[in-house]
Amino acid sequence: MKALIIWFNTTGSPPNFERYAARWIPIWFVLAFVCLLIGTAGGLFMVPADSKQGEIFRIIYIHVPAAWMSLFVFIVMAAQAFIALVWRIKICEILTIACAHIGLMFTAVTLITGSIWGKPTWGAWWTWDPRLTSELVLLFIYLGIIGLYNAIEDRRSAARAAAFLVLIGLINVPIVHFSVTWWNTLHQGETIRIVGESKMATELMWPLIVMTLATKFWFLGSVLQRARTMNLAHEANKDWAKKLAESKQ
Amino acid sequence: MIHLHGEFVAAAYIIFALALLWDYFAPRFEYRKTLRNILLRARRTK
Repeated sequence: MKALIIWFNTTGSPPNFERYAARWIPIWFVLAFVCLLIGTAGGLFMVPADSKQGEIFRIIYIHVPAAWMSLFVFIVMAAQAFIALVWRIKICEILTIACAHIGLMFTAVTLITGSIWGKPTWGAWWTWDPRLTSELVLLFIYLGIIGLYNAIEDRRSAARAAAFLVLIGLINVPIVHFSVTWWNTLHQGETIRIVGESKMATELMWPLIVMTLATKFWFLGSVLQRARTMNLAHEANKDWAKKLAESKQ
Repeated sequence: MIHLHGEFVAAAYIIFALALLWDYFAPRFEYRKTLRNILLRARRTK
């Protein structure tokens, strides 16, 4: 435990974080690109078409991992926001805002790809279904967090205000997840389960697992890249940042 | 009857790819811009 706290404090210092991010960003992105290639090839060309939905079902290989990420990123962001508020660790404030941009991207992808799937399947681009509506609310919460952060001039006050909004917005995460159980919805119920038997055929499952891994690796690379950029902007007047800029000239 | 809906599938994958490309390149451009600004400021104050 002591070693973990020491590692956390050491990595959390801005110059150390810059070095740590520079080392890990390429690794996570290479893993993400490899998984994306395999998962996309599998989802588009290797698995057979669904017996009921036909080819349109192939959208699930991007829609479902993106939807999982929209919730996963929010939970990670809330953990960072909590640490930022309680222990006032600067790097956690930065990571909170970095997470918000990635979460926004995945939520937008979820809604758009879901809508594209919905048109031929349900006959409508959009319906005010509880799952769709709560996911749209999630998108607005992400936008609100980014907007609030950008509206306050002092970066540390802005990050703290945004962190409060993250913790308030956390209430929407279980609403999105359980919306298909709590209400009678058009959206299909839980198909894939971590514990228990999934309703999806096993031969159709592997690209989904690979794409899920890809989005997780992507998140790790992207959050480090975004946090690295913000960290450098915050520390622009420090000697280490000037030395870094000169060394990269 | 199974419909192909190839254009819908292609549109969804293109949107996903565009979103990832934006997420990959936008912070990289911002990082380079920040480095350039730091250099310019350092030269001005010398």
